[in-house]
Amino acid sequence: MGSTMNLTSSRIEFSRRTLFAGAAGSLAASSISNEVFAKPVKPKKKQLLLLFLSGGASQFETWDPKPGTKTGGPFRAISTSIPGVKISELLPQTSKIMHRLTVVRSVNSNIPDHFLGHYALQSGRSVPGYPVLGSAVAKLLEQPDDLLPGYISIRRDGPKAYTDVGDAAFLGAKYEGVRIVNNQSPENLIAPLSVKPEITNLVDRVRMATDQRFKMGRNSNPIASYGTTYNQADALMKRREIFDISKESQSDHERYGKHDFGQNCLLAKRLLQSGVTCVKVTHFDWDAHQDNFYWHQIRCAEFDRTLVTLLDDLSEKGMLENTLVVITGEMGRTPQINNLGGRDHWGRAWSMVMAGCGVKPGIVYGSTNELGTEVKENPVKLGDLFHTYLRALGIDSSLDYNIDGQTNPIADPAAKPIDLLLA
Amino acid sequence: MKINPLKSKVTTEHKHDAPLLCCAYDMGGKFLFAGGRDNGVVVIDLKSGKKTILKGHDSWVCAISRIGPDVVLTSDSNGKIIAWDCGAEVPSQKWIIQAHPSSIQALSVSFNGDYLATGDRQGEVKIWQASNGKLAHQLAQLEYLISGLAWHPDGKQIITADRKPQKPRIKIWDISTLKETLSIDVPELSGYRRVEDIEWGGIRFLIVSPDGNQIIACGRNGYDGPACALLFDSSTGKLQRKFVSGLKGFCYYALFHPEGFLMTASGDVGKGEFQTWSITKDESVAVVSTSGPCSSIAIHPDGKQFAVTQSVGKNSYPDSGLIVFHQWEEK
Repeated sequence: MGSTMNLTSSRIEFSRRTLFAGAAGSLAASSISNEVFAKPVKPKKKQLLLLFLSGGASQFETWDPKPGTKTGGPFRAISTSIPGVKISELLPQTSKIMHRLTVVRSVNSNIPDHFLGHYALQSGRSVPGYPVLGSAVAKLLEQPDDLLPGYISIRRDGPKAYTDVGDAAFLGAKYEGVRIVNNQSPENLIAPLSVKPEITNLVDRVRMATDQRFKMGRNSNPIASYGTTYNQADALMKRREIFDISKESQSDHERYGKHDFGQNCLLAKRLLQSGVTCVKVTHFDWDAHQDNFYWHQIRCAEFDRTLVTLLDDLSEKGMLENTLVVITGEMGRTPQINNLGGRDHWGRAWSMVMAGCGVKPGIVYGSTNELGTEVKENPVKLGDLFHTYLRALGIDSSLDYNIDGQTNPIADPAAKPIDLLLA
Repeated sequence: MKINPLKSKVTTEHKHDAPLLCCAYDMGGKFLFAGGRDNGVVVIDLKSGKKTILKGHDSWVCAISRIGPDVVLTSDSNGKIIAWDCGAEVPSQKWIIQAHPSSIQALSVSFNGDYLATGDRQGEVKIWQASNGKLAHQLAQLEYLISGLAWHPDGKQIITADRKPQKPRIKIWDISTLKETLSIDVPELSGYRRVEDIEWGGIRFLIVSPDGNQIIACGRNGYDGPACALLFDSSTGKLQRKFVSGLKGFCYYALFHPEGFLMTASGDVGKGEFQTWSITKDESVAVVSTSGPCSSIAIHPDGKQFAVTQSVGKNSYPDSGLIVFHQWEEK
């Protein structure tokens, strides 16, 4: 067990979504200002953007092509901005910015399963019950003046099958991802007109006075937690326009792409710019058991253009140096091509990518054998990745959570960060 | 001399080290061309039995068609078409065009051999002059992958199949105006999965009957349904008949014998079959089971022989291919 980090417990006993649903009715209407979206400020704190390729992207058609081999598929490999490194021709825009990326070609998670993989790749563990990356980082990078949610997860409606597994676990509801589905704001961010500002102001003053009295001589943690949650809901209502991508320019909508992934990434950029600590965007439909090559052309075309646009924007705004971008799915896809032209589930030798904060750009770490059936050099376990993400964000991954006196390692003690990838 | 479509026997087999997807004889009947999941074009000299691998493609060879007296066309997943001159002892390249920026999924030659049409992943359909590979026409871009193309025997119309989710479509186009004249929705061949928002079915191949009155679309009936081919009236778009296979997989290919009967090739996990049909009956008149999924059939110009391409391998992972030559019994 590592040393213990002083992380106070947060006992919030209702879900974030419930909170926001009820927030509008109970909060003071007077607290809703017309000045809803403050000027973007350069965030000083570190942030995380997780781009999750749900279903499992093929490493052959993305980061680790094997053209001309039995397993390689029909596509060519193209040169990149890193001399001597090639990626699939399905990522032509990305090939030009490879010098900004940190590619791991030797992931061996050995979990060829959607449900387990979604959890394991996000929690860094295969045993259940641990917080996923977004929740963990929201907790570990939390600052006293944070009022916006620490973790927001963006996806389109359905499938609900496997992307929302896990979440905050023992960290509590406060660190669960606030889900944005189909780019719709959380519900009830606008107070009903019937709620008069003067009444709610009065109620709020009474609440604070009562809290103050109640805390005298008692454990103040629960009351502090409720107060924090109240303030966060209030802040979110005031800044509800952070969810409104219609405020982004038409040219930005075009640049990011009008498809779900493009629009979701545009929202992700807006949220990061607004100061949200962790944002996850799920890009669906990589589970190509049939016609893998047709589907990867479509998915990669969406991903390629949007990724480059997003990284360009984060870089231009000076945000990339403080934002770790993690690109992974729950698994890779089989080297073998099935009778329907598909690739199936595969966890033994596949690829993921990082960029930005705390990682060395322009690195390709690890390799697979000629047919991509096994890791050849520098095998990487999912726990190693989790350690690496935290370290890149400046978090000592050897520490423990301390929740109500109970300690729990932040990251799997049996794994370790990949030092060669860390800046 | 007529053949008995119900009885055939295997004459020879040729193995290949990649699964095979397509095949065609040259007009003179000297060679069989085959292509599949590698970059080589397999050529079998029918007289000597010699197998040659032609180079030139840098991706999978997904479609083959003969054109003119001595030319066979091959197209690949990178949008390239190669015309092979079959006049010599070994076919050689006649011309090459980079026809599309993405995979060519469909290739069809007009009945008079003057034009070829190609369709790609992005929904582009182009019509080329066969003599020199020059672009002659281009249809308005469809939104979805072109999965089938067939010329009407009148030479004035072309038929496309696309892969619109939940509602794959057949469209008939007038070549003189490049306008669509009829659109047929084919939901029976959709394998749409809402969970993934993926169309896993779709029309896999398209042909027109020799008299031009019928269109046949190959695929699978629903997500779990059997391999099947659907017969449509080409003037009304009305579904007239379903040719349903005993396999759960896909019907990948269909063609008419000059004597009027229809053949289909189908495949499922680790098995396949080819069937013979009368277009006036629902039940097949002959079925031959194969050890691997059947992907295509070619009928020799003499009408007495045919070849079937297959994928071969363990379970659902084929890693090699097979060309099986058959001969029909004479009546």
